[in-house]
Amino acid sequence: MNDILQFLAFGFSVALQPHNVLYAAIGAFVGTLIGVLPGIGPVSGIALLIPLIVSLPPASAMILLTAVYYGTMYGGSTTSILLNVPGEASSVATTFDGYQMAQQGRAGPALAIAAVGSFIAGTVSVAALMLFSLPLAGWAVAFGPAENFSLMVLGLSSVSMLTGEHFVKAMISTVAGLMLATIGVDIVSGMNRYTFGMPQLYDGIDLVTGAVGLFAVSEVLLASNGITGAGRVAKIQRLWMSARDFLDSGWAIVRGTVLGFYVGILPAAGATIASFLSYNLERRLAKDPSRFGKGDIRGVAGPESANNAAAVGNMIPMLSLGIPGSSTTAVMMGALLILNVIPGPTLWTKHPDVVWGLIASMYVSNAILLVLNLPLVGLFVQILKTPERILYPIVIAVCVIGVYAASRSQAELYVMLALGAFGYYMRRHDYPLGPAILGLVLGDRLEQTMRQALIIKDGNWAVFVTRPLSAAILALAGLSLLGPLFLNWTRARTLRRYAAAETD
Amino acid sequence: MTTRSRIGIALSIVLVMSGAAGAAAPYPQRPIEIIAPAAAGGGWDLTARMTVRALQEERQISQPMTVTNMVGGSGAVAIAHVNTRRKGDAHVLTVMGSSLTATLARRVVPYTFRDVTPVAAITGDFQVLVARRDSNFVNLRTFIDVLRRDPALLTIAGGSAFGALDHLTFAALAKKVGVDATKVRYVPTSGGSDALTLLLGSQVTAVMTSVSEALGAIEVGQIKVLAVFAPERIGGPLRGVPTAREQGTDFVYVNWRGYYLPPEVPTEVTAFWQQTIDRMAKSKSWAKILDETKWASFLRFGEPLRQFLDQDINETASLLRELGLMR
Repeated sequence: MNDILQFLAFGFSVALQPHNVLYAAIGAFVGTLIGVLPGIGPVSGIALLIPLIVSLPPASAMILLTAVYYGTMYGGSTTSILLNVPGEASSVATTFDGYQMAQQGRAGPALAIAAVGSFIAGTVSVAALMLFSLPLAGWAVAFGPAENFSLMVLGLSSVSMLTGEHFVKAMISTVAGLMLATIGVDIVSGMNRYTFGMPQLYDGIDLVTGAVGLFAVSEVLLASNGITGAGRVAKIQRLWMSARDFLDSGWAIVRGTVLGFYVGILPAAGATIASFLSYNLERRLAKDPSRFGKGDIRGVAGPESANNAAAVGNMIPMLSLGIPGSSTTAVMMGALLILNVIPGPTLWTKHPDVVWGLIASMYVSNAILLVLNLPLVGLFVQILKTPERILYPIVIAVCVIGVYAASRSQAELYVMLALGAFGYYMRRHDYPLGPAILGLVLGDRLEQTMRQALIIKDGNWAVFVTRPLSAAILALAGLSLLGPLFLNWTRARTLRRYAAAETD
Repeated sequence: MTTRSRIGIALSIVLVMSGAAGAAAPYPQRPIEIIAPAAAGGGWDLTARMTVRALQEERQISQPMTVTNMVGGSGAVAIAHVNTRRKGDAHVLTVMGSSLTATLARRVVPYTFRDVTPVAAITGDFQVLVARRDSNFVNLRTFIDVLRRDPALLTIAGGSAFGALDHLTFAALAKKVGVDATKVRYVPTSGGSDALTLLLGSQVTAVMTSVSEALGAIEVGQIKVLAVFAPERIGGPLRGVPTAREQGTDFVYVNWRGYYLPPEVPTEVTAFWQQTIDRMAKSKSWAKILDETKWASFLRFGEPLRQFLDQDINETASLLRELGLMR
């Protein structure tokens, strides 16, 4: 422990050097901008900087890149909350309650809790990374395809919570999302599915394009038809969250942090899945789950903490095993290798300035981001005062610019618009959108891991229940899916019995 | 094609020709665009960005250079774009490589390497076969013994789909030693690091991937490299690893990368880029980049390049047919 404190002190001596603080600040600012723009995510942000960092000392270079990564995680929530436009895939779950809060005039508390939750989750996770990185690396490889498949099923089981009133419509919506996820090259057969000969569809439907189309574009379509109740934003009540808001979200932040950190370590899962699992967990644990989806602050605090904690957890397999857990950390590892810094257990002894400087700089960037983001809340909230006839065209412009900048492809814009029209149809007919996006998020990995597990076991389906961890997760998923249905059923039966007793 | 670009091309021809006549060549007279047909962060993207870095460091190009990421179908979207929108455009270079070969061999798009103007192959990322450090496989020989005797014992993971690079490498290796590749379980994943995670979790017996994908895990020491499929040993952390050839199996497989120009560009422009890339590849800046990325130099121009591409396509197509992935 003393050693760690000494190392950390050394780390801070690196991270607090004026030029390194400057790099962290620049990175945090650039990252926030990248995060705000939908489409361009942490991967492209970091990749674009790589050729520029080669002339920097390794510690400074990594501080800059990590700050960008962190910044995107913070920035992604802003447009999710204000405009229903998720900046990153990992902030899709934030839209469910965040946007509703903004509509009710509570954008300030939503943005504030997102920043505070991210700060707490980030700081705590870095401490965990610092203390337990090596022992936790085993957890990263303990999950084989069977376990990962079960984890995806657990994620999917949360549809029963995202449903609203119509269970069957929610199921249809889930299946629609899963079907959208099958578009593109099937990695098992190597064949194209549902691409209609268009090369632009070979890589499938990008998650951000999907979320932007389904949520944001459909929102604008509804508003322009004067249908949505969303049309007029309620008067902004207060900019800062109340003590009660914070107390309400306290446990959501704690749970989101722990859950996000562990899920983030798993290479197959990552920040997006962590945020959905956290949303589901919060709703499940709430005494009054009906408030979720209608602007419950816990629905913002949980996922936003989870995605930041996952971003840190994600670094563990990279730092200790040399295996990056996500495309973002893959790019970061590429940067490390270019700087001739070799990840792995020896990293901690061979390049203490990089590792401990990096860890200390995570604290520094967290603090910078909090300072940067909180005052901006007031500024961002003003956006909502913009008249609709000006705001909605701007929303569409932001979506188009973001999606086009990320893909440089017109086809991607057509996909976005088509999904917008599809989302509009769904919402007009009371199909909930949450399950569709969940299906799109999980579908790819769900199918891949299932088929990988089956290939390894020569097609024996028992693999999902004979492996204890996988069986346990599946059981949890079963409970999660059927539990609420069963409760409803018994409640209905009891009610009927009372009703019958009364008529007697 | 717009009138402006037509004039641009006409001008460039005139200028390149006048350059050839004596004065310093004024081509390029517009900024150069490099299309990386994949997302930022991958090997194709890095190739493009490192080229820009080296050409700028060596001050070889007077015009600014930009990188465009045109994601889609392992290069299919980019080659379609170049053929439909950029015909004759002398100011756009596109990255190509092994994955594009596989795409073209499967006739995913109605184009071949003959529909564009290949300029050069530049780098090669050689394939490696790796196993867990505590695995029973000592080297490639012991692996091939098992492969011949009882292929059903093996489960191989790779960082690509069926019929794409890592699977093709394994199929070619199996074919080389006379084993039917379809008898071995192949677990496709969406990237080298996913495959390595399966290996460390003891889900599979070995992983086929490339040097640069496996480098991190190799350095950490959790995995051992059974063989490098390169013509000779590669340096750095793999200098102690024998090639397949040294172990009695004459097998080389490379994930090569290079550049093509659009169809119908003036031959002077092609010549300009051949010279420029040749000079760049021999520069100090490029040597440093190769050392950083652990890519090998894989220079091919002109007729040898054309032959290499033909051979690459034909071999890939016949492998795909044998795997039953193409008629």
